[in-house]
Amino acid sequence: MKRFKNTSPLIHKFVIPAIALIVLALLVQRMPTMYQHVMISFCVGIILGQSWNLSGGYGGLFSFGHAAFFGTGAYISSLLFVKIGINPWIGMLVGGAAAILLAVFIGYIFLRLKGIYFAIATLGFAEVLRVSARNLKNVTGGEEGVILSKIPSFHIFNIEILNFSDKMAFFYIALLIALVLFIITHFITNSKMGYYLMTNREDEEVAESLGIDTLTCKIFALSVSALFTAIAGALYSSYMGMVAPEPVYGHEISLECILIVIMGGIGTLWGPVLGALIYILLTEIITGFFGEFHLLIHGVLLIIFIMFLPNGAIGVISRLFRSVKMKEGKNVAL
Amino acid sequence: MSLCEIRNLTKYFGGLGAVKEFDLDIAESEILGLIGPNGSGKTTLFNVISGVYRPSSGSILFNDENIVGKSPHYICRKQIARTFQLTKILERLTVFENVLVGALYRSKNLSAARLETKTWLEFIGLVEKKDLYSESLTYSECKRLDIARALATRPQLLLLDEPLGGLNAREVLDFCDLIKEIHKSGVTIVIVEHVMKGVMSLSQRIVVINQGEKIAEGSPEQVVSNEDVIKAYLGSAYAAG
Repeated sequence: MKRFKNTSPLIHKFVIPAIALIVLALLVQRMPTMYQHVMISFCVGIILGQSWNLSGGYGGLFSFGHAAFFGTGAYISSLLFVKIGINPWIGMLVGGAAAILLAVFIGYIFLRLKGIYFAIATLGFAEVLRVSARNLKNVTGGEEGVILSKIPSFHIFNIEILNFSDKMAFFYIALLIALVLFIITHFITNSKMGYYLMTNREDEEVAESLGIDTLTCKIFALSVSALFTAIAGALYSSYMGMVAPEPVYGHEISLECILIVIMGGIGTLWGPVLGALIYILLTEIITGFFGEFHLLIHGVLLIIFIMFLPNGAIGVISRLFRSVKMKEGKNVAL
Repeated sequence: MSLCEIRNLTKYFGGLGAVKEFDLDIAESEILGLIGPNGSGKTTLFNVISGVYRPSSGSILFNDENIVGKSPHYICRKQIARTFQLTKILERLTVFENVLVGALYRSKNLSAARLETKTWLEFIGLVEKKDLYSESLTYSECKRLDIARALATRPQLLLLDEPLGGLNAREVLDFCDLIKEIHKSGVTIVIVEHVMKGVMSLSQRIVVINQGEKIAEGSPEQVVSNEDVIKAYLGSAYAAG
């Protein structure tokens, strides 16, 4: 009997999402390349949003400089590939490790700053890295950056698993990473660490008074966030086949992380997923119509969301659900 | 043996001495009242003991360990808990979660902490409201919640910063009962308070602080009749009435 009781949540938790993901992958495979590209951006968007959400949404660390981690992941994996020939998928992990070190380093210094001051410090730090990447021409190739020539396909026992001249290979990897991050976030937020982070977000003095080592918690959140942001960066650069200061260290990336979370719903598990969907679709439309002005429009959107929909799309949906439930409740009462 | 020994404690904010060469012994399982006019250094003293401020000089021995200069979370782990003068309820967490985060550090895992949270909510009388947010709590319920959260860290020494402030006469009585009950469970309590009726009935011993210095110490009766205390704080009307 007990076994039967446990099956239904198991189906809910694992089987249904797994089927949904397989169906999604099959659908994407049949899509025209342009839409495949959008789907890859969508997955990268989820990774970026969820990473930022973990430190910014749950931990309350308002970083405006996540491009620092994104760019570091992108540069390290690309340079390792171009200069020494290390496979970008290994370089991705090296970049991730470097981003963790970076997060611990800047965390230890900047996390003593609160709120807006932390935001400014991280923004500045990302700028320092961007300008450095531009000027260290011998290493980074300066403003033009570095071109990644053909990435060798991935073999297991001489059988080609992933062929990187095909967009689908990137899609599978991006989807897998997004999924892993989603699960990790789920577990962190349902653990002691998740509550430590939320307490710290709400009131640091209270958190400390309850025995929570806030600095360590914040550095942990920032490190996990940095790791996945860097992985997204490595994925992006190997997908685009190039790395340059503006695209990977620019404000646009930092802004994208924040916008996705704000649009979807800050501090919620599904917020970044929904946010990435909205953001990527909007970006495709806006860039189509306004070209280079899309950054301006993104800024305006950020303000609109913060002012009128502070809980993002998730907030709107849950409000709708609640009002439907309330109506049902009233009918029952009548 | 005293649980906590404070010696020569001094805290300067720039040129202003908020607490000056303060000595205090807190005996195990007593209720100690700390009274004094506004700005006399009561809350500063709490903040120094709980690690929020680092004192300019002096020592605080708690269970024979000098805790001066340690971070607030370390001091909490050494079993000193505090409440706040202006209650600090975490707004985006439910009543249940507010207590839960207090129980977390000492609990093995989340489910153990959840079990413990339940008992604290029962003790404090907020079980029916466990899924609500602080916005729908009354002021006195917020104060209860603040105390429950501090208790969930399982302190030996509990610092209560004006737990009776802003409560009506009926609630003051309820809170006095609550504090006595906490005391009965073996917790040593230091209470900063302006509500004289409450603090007089609760405390076994009272320390009066004025301009950062201790001006009197003794049983409630002794303190009330002390000339310096009347002049600095209580006023002659209190002594007469």
